Amino acid sequence: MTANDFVSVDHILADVTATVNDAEYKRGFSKGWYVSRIQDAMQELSFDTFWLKIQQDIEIPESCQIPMPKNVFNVREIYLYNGTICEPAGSQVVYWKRLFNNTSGGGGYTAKVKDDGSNPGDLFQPNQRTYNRNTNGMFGPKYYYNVMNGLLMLSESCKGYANIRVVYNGMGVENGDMPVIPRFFERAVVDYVEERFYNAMKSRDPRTFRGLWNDSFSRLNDIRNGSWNKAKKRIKSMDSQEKESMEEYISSMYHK
Amino acid sequence: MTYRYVAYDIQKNLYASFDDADFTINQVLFWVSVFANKLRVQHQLSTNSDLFTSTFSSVEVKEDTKSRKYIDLPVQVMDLPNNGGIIYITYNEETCDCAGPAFAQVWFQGTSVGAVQQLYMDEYTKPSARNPYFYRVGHRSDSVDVNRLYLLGVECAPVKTVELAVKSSIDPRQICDLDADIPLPDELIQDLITGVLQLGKFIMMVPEETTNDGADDTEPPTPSYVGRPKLPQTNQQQK
Repeated sequence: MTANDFVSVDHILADVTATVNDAEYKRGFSKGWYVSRIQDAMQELSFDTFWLKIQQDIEIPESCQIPMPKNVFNVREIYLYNGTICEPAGSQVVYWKRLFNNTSGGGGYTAKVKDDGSNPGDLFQPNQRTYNRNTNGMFGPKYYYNVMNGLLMLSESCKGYANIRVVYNGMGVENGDMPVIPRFFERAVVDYVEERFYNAMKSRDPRTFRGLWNDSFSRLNDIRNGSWNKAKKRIKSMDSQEKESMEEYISSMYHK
Repeated sequence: MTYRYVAYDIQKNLYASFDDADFTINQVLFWVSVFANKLRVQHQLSTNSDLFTSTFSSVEVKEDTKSRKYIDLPVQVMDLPNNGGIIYITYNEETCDCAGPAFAQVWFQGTSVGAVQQLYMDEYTKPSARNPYFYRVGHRSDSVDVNRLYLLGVECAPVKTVELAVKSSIDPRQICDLDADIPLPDELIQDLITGVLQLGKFIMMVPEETTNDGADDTEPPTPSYVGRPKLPQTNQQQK
């Protein structure tokens, strides 16, 4: 996807400030307030549509712990691999293990069901030593993870690989950076910022702004023609090639 | 329309009503400027035109005793809602002066002293050298009369001068040339003359009502006052 498929923040601001009659930023809101609302819009769209993916490639840490980067949510994929970041070799999928916890770091962990025969005194659900790490074949090393409070915890077997690649969903850019706005989200972002503006003005002059806010709310949230729902439909109906190109563009931010 | 035409016309009309009064042309000019300022604000609010805009290309940035940067307003500015009297203030990020490449021109945004704290709460509104603000202190600073715009966000930037555009008011002290044009649209001259004449007549009436000519104009008490309750007396009278 080319850069022309993104619209600038100024492009959105020119549209919004003309509509709300605040081209000089003198109605009580600074330019930064509008940009902040644009970022809010992109963040909300990210949560609603999962449109943005962000990839992280690092070496496996000795502690088997990786703090999730800022500005991401929802782990989508995890791979272990050898070789280099540019040339991965022999990759391995990592699965999620329920209640796995090694927040203290290292190889030890707790879990309701463990693979070392722990919990033997449990009358109802004793762990069975049906397999162990020394056994090769299908009961060999186990690669799993869990996340607690933003800390991604890996099983000790993961240290058998050099690198790990985690793909998350992103929330747009980091707070403070200029938002990146795909063209197909333009109307949704414009309507979102206008709705926020009228909502804020409503408390200053309810008689004037309540009606305007009502209109803007409908323009944004109408089930059939609202720009927010249209944006959601658009992200789902994009062709795969276009979407993948865009994701690569955005997720490359961690390699700059 | 020049001050001369308007001022002498008004003076002549006032003399027609108060032929023994002493209307100096300076007095009339003062009234003209007072009323013209009112008309200018009204016209500005109704049209939002740039008719009353004044620009200043190089206004020196100073620091007060607490190292806060400010500029002195070179003229009196209209007090419009949300600092609307200040149209823009810019500086150049490259040169820290007024002049410089267009891409580096940075605009100061208006705010109020009370709202400054909130600006620091959001990454996008936080004052910085690329996102600077101004607020006005128009009365006193440490008991000294001031007419300043304080600059926020450029504390660490060596800004020497800024460019400024404002909606200015007329300063009566600066009317030196009777043949200068009155800075008002021609269609408002009639309102100006009417307004000044009314002001003049009002001022002439006031002394007449307060003159002590020695005559006792009070009416004697009538029986109708008898049944009324006594009004409270002033402290002075009670003594």
